[in-house]
Amino acid sequence: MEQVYLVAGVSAAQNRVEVLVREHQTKLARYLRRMVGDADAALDIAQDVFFSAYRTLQKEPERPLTAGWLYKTATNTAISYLRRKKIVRFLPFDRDREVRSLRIDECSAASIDLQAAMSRLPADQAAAIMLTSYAGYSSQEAAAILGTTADAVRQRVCRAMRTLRVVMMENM
Amino acid sequence: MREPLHQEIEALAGAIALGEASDADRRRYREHIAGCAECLQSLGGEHELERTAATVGAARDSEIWAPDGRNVFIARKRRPAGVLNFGAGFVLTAIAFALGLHYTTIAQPARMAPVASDVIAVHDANPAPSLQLPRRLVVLHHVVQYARAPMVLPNPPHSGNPHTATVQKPSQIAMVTVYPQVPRTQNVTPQDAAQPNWRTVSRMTTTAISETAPQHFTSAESLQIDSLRRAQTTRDAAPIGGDTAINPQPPMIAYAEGAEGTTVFEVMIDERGAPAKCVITQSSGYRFLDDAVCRAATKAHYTPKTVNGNPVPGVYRDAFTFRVNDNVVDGLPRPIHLH
Repeated sequence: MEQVYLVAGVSAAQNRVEVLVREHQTKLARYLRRMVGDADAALDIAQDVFFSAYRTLQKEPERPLTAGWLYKTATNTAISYLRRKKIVRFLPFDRDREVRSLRIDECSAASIDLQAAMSRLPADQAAAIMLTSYAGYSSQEAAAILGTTADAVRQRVCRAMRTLRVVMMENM
Repeated sequence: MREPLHQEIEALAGAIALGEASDADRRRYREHIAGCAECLQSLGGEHELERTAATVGAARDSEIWAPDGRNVFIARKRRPAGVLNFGAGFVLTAIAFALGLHYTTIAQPARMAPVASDVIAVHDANPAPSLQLPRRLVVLHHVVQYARAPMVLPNPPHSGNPHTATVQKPSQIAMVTVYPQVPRTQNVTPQDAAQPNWRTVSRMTTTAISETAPQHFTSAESLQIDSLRRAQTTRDAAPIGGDTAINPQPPMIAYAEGAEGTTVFEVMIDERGAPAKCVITQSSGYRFLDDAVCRAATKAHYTPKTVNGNPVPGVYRDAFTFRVNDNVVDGLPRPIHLH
């Protein structure tokens, strides 16, 4: 009897994760790729995020998991990935290589500028600008995701804009 | 750490960039930058902040990359943890080689194990369709033809009879033909020839290369896209003066080199229609051709992009193909007529 219950629980979790994946995987993977600057790492982190969603739903099937929960987990995982990466980053920063790694059909000027700025931003500023301007959350929602205040998010956005503006002027 | 005043201004600037500022906030920001050169220089005015923020949206909207066709939850093979990326992996492998031992297995932590094999079995049977939004990349293709060196170089590298040079290069599209505006008489002085004055002599066709992502829409998605289309009428930025508006002038060296290639570029147009920036997104292989295109593109005048009639910053994308025209008659190149 218990086994039957478990199977039912598992499949419910699977269904809900599948709905989440179908709805959010593209947006979340793009968001993560901007954050970490690497498509493979982004896909790995996206998988981690959905897997932890699955684990959470297995434990608490009734828990409402929203897009905000996914972005929160994704942001935290990406930030810790960036911190780890910083320690072992042997390769020098090479803008041309980074541009080439973007696909040719998305080599828009805006895309190149944003990616160049992203690689210079500290993780907290990168998360603030990506959650607001890119993912479309308000500063209050982003503050809830990042566990800080709305004004702090706006400040980080402002500092990120400063860097972005410098990059845009350099490439002019 | 900055003083509280500047922290407050930064928060205001962030609010303006995110479109969350009230009129009072905007006024407060304007008053501050009127007296603070540092903020004005590093952040710019309200419009500048909004324009910078719009770059992020433009970057997002230009993206087409997506997890390839499958569910990321099941489709990915696990890789070593991020810490053990290229550098550390390489070092560990080198040590393993040096010791003649297979330590590489240690470099792959327990995470390498396939994740949730039970889930894989269930999901594999019914892979979720990936969400791929359509995207059209329209590149207008202008072809610029120009004559080979003999007629414009002050000292022609070879003195062959131009009448015999009738080799016609195959080209797909001929649209703009440009040749040096020199007198039809044959006694061209070296000074005149050294400074050719380019002009467009014929216009043939406009063509668009479009690239559309595979479209597998459910009816619900199509409906959603239709409703989005209806909600806003958008007109893209365009040069004023039609197809001749951008008229690149290849330098003398283009002759000598016989430089051919395609330059794809983007011009960022601000809400007043002024070109703010030109970026080469695909080089022709010749710096001077790319430079000529960008120089011409930033000289042109544009109509700004409009959304529901309101001008907004936008991007104009275009391409020029340069071809050498060997079909020279009476010292002047003939436009290559193509269908």
